[in-house]
Amino acid sequence: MRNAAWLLALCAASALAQSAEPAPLQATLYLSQDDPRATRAREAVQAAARPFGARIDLVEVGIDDLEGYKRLKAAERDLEIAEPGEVTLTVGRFALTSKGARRDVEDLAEAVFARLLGGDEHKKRRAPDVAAFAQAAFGSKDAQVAQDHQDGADTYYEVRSGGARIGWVVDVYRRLACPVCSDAQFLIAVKNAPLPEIVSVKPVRELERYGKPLDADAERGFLAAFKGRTEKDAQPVDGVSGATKTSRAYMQGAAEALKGVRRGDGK
Amino acid sequence: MKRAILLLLALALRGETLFAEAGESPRPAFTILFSAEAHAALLPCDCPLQPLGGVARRATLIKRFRERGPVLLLDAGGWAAGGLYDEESDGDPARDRLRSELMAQCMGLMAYSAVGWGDEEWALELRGEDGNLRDAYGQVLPQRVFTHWPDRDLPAKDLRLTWTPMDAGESRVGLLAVPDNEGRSTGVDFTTLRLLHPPDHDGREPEFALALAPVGEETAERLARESPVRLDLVLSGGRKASTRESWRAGATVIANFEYQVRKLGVAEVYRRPAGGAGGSPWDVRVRFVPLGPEIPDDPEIAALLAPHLETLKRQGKERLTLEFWTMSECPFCEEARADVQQVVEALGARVRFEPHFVVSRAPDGTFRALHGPRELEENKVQALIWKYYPEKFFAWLAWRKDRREAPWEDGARELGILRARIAGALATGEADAILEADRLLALRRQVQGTPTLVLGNRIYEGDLERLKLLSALCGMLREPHPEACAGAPKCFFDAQCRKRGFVGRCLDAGTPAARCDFSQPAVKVGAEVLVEPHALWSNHEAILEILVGYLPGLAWREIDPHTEAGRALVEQYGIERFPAYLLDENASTEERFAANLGQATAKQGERWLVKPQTSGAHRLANRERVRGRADLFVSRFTRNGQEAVDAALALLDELPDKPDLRIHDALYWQEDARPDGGITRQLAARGGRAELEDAALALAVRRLAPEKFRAYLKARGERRASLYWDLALKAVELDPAAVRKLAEGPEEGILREMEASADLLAALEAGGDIVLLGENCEVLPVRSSRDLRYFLERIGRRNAGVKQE
Repeated sequence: MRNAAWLLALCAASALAQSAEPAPLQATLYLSQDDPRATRAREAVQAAARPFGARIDLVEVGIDDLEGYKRLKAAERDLEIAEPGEVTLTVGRFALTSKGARRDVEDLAEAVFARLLGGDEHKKRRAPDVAAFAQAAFGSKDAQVAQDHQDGADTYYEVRSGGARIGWVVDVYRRLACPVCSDAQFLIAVKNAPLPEIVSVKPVRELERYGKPLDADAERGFLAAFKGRTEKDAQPVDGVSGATKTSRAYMQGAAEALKGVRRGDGK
Repeated sequence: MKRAILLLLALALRGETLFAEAGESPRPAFTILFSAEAHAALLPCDCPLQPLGGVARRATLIKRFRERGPVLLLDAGGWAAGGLYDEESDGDPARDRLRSELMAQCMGLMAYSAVGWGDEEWALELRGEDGNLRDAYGQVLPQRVFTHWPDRDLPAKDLRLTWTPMDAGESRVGLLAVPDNEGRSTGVDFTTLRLLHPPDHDGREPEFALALAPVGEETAERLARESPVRLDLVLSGGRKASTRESWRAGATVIANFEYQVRKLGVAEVYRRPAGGAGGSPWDVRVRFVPLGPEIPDDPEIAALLAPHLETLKRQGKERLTLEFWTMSECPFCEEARADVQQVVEALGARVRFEPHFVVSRAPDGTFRALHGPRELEENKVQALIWKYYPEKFFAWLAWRKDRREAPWEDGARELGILRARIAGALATGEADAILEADRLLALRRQVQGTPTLVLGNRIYEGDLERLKLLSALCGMLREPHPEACAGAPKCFFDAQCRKRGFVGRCLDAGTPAARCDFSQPAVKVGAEVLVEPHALWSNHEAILEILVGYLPGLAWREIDPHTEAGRALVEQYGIERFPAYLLDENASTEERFAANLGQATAKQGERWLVKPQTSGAHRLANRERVRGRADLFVSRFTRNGQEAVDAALALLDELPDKPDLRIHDALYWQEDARPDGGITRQLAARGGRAELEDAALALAVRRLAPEKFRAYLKARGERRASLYWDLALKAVELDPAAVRKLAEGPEEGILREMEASADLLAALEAGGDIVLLGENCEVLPVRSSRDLRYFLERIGRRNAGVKQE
């Protein structure tokens, strides 16, 4: 009886060891032989997958015949691909497309593979330097910050200078339901009067598109659009193309921070 | 005291009484007040001339009706903001949500008995971010037929719907809900409909069955016709395809709706005497009461809206959609395309362009395009290019313009469009799905031809010319306007500048500096409008809209010509037709009176009378009303005329309440000048001598065998204008020789009848293939078999009323 129990435990441990080996990441590349950029796309994806070896199972589907096209359509429906392209790469539940001058498949495949196979480091909250941000945002070297209250995932800091409140800094954090996106975390400085008004916004987690940092101009333009906004017009900021969820998180976070500040102000 | 005030308020209703056909009938057993397609229009419409509607007025009127007897208050859906028909939306979701929530609260305060759930309501975010039902919707949801609401997609066959019991006074009403959107109901076989009792059924069967059907007129009518369950009333919502207020399908009355509830629907339900006609024990009389400024606001609703008035006031749109309805081989579409493209590109992100394609379905279900199969295929390709390559759509049109015969693959290669994408989408039916969606949308939008533009949910009726289109779009956009609007004229002619009480002038018309000027107050002009309150038809509201456009200071009162005051005016001014419009003498002092109304009016004593032939006045003042009678004059040799005869005969078989219908051949007096200066008159028909002789034959048949008259008309119609006239006689077993004996010549009595018929038509001053004289005094406009049906049905119901009396 004891032997039997031992044998069972051994089998269970063996099964556990086998299941610990992760299944390869399924990647499917849909393209047409008529597409003059098909070869370049194929080479780029293969090159991006190569470092991961057997951890990526890459399959190619031609869409020039009806069967292939139907598979592409099924994937587009299943993954709710909003921007269909000429070349499509699906990686698990994630998809990239390329069309015309927009070459996301070729440009981002490597970053996406790395993100999906690289753990969840990009999903963690960071500890920001609130005081340094407050001093820079309000242009006051002696600005002091003190945590005031917490609202959901957002932390509100009161900013004082010369004994008087000069504004607020809010550490905004939003978890994004997107496997390759880093979560949105940013600091937002709000001045008091007459209405709460945004002074400055600074990312704590880098702004990026599918694991690739946003270029400096795009980031500057996006953040600058928040400056001077009040609760009344906090929402309509032009989002970053390819970073829709992050953009939306910033807009909602900013709007809620303005509301939260007002509540805090009334204390 | 409160009752007295309410009574006074009721009397203040211009030209309206709460009781339909007052004085003729007993009180209704109960009244159904109904609305549909309100689209969160909370305030009176932004119509410069007649601002009707508004929930605060609606609430007041509903209270008045409740004072007089049992009322069911229903809405057939489309009450929320958003969707296809919402003209008030500025594209701001927060404002739309506020409008929906306020509308829900108002409907809660008005105590709706049941509320339909249309496309707009399904799209509502009923729950807040905390996951709880938003407070506003809690007020209407209990009224929604929630427990008995069917799935949105009905089964095509074996349809089972649960009825909801409602008590209206002593009557038990059973309410059915049909899912919204005709697209969902198009394929449903209503012949399989069975009613299920509600789970809490108390054993009492419904006496009166009514359906909320936000599915468009045609599907609502199909439901009424096909349902094996007796439906007494169907409230149609979703889409209007005609101006009918109500009509019948078998024993069922179908009631239409008034967009934005500018008028409240009223269905008064009377019990028919036992053994009454029509297969229904109920007589349902439908009408619409305008929600005009004479109805005061309900204070509770007004207070609810007051804090939001600034937000609710109509404002420009941040972004708007321009729908371009086209057919790929329509030459005018190509002409319009260049201007549309320029304007769309100039306005950038503020305007979203969307092409849509006008197609139909053949009886076998396949798609059809007006210009043939090649156009259909090209429509599909264009629909897919728009879907997958919107940025290349205009380039595609330009490429295709000079290469009608070229295979689409050539264009794809030239423009860098992936062939596999378009070919695959064609093969898998993606284009068909787009065209089907367009087909249904065209029905809902009532797109009649191409090119048609829909700007911000409203059909554009202006010229398809670049500057005018740019001007229209800029006028709809919120400030600050795009740069391109700087050059867009604000107006092109005076008629575009309208404001009640002021003369509108377009200064610097058609130039970038154009603007409306309202600095000059309008002349205050009094007017009397003689109109019968219970006429079969009247266009006086439309004519008044036009008059107010030219006389912005016009203040009128409607007078029944059969009252003492009315009779006096008829006699004093020699009025021959109603509606008649008598304007005060000072009307001629209004700016541009001579140019605008000089030709349309004539001086009668000290007043200006609008000429009846200009206003389309159709009721002959000197003819007695014979209730229930209809005289149909047709040229049976024309296709239209014979179709009218066939339709009228079919209606006589079908209608539960039949009019006293008399069918005449349309005969005329042809007058020729004699050498001695006199006039020779002889009878004539549009189809010449043959048709004249055919008219004599028909009269002979009626004389010899009146019971076979209708059958003869039908048989003769099958061989319209055939030389072999005797075949139709033989078909109904009549002796051709006996008929010919009377008709040839013709016999004196028949000749007199023909002359009398021509005299009557001449007296009506009417002509054409079809003339319908309603109740001996109204020349009714019949432009389609649907119109004919509508009028004969109305007259039939009034005929039934006469018999009951």
